[in-house]
Amino acid sequence: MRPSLLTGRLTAAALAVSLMLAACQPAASPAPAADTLNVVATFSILGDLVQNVGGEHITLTVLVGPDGDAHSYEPAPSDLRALAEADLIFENGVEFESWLDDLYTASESKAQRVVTSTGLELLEAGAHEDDHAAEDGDEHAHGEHDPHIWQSVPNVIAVVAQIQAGLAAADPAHAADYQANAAAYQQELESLHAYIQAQVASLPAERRKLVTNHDTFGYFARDYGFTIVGAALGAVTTEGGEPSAADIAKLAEAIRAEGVPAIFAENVESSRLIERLAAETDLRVGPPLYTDALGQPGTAGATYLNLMRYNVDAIVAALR
Amino acid sequence: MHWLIDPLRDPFMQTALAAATLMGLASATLGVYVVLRRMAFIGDALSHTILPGVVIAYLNHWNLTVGALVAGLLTALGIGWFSRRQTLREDTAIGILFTGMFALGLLLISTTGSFRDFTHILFGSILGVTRSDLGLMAAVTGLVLAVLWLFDKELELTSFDPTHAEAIGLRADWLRYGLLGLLALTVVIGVQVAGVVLTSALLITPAATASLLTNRLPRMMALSAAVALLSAVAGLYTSYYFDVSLGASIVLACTLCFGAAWAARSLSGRRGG
Repeated sequence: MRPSLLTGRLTAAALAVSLMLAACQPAASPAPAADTLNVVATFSILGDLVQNVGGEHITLTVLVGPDGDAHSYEPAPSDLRALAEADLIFENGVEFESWLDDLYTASESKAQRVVTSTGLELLEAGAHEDDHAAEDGDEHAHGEHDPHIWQSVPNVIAVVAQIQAGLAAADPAHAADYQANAAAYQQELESLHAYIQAQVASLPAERRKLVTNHDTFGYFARDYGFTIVGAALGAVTTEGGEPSAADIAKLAEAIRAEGVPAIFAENVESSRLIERLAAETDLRVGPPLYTDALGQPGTAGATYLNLMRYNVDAIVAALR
Repeated sequence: MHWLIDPLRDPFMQTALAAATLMGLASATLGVYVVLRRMAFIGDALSHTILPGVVIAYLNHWNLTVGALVAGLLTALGIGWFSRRQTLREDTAIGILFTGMFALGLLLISTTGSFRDFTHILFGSILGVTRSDLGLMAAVTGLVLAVLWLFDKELELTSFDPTHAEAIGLRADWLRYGLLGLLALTVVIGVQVAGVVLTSALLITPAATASLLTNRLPRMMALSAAVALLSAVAGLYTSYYFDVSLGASIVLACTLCFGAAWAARSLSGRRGG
């Protein structure tokens, strides 16, 4: 074998590949209109809320898109550029976007960050497992809270107010428009809230019991009167690792004891565990609920308003 | 020529390229010994064994990087200890310690209730590298290159012929501990800055590619470093123009280099025979 020749050939081949790749033109990105505000929202649901308030005055970039899982997110260069060029960044907070600090620093962004969950009454992570929490004493000593605030409409009405304040502060010239947009959208949220309450009221109280894939319906349960029996992943994150056989058996036993009528999969994570649980308990798997992300355009969960209607319809139909 | 310069306009791309270059240099040169000594899984293993260190540091409010480093160095020591005098092969010792330490980490996590805080501490993303990370990486890379240069002959001899090295009075044990320590340092910093897959790939693939093309150690190291740097640059352009993950692009570029080397070797082998 003649290493020098081979080396030369290898280098040439690799160079050719890299040149070929590099020669591809970048995808044309829409040029932002001259006087709009560059706004980043960290994930799809928050992005929908921001777009509803910002309307035509903002150019919005969403980092974790439809059906994307913000718990595990790998950035692309355009995401960093969006952060670098942003005037304003809306984030959920409550450690939902644990990757944002690093990316914000790395992008050298100068944007104002708005934590939209500010001022909300947060649930402790896993707070519904009363016996469990008492057993473990200071299990949540690190102050972990449930980040899935959007599963309750009253929370979102407050989030919209935060968004409006953030936009108005960054762009006072259009403050009146932001206020009008926010008020109109909050009106829609109020009627969504009333719709959910009416749907839930049609369900007998003893059937208002939820079992989902990861622990994401805490605020929904608190504000609409459901009991969370458990979550297959047993954690507020989709990264909660594999539950043990004993965890699954314990949850299956709780499901039988509570007489839960159906259990639910979700749109951002595989339903493997939920299906195993269903087999174990002879239960139906309800349709996948929209948990941490909007659905793709054209699906039932493409906007926040539709997503919540879809979820509550699916939950009520499956548990009835 | 715009397409050549465009990806480097963004400061975060410059930082990421610098980080990939530094990591590539340290990992690719160290990786030659990893490949020669058949310890291919050490990168993957070390990146997981730091978990208990991170969790313990987190629970006690200590510096997390220090926790990770201590756990990594302990693992390296353990691997050296169990595999001394060929009681166990190094890959066996790696397998035992890797699973044991990772399980300990998971056990500790279950007492804190959530995995959420740890994944992003454990597994960085190279586009999230900050300028202050670069200083630390430059120090690690400098140390690795200095040690490899100073102990060049000794390391070569103990890797190729440990019995002979021992016979002429070389302390093979100490050299092995030293090498494992350097690996722990490189992997711990690499994982936090660039993630597990990129760190493991940079440690193995460039060195394996080089080992297909030459048997001479200094040339192998130079080739390995060249493959890593080429992959870093190719990955940067791929990531920029296709708007995909930078870490994954660099790993795939390494893999392509390996494939090219394999093909070149097979072709020339056939013609020669």
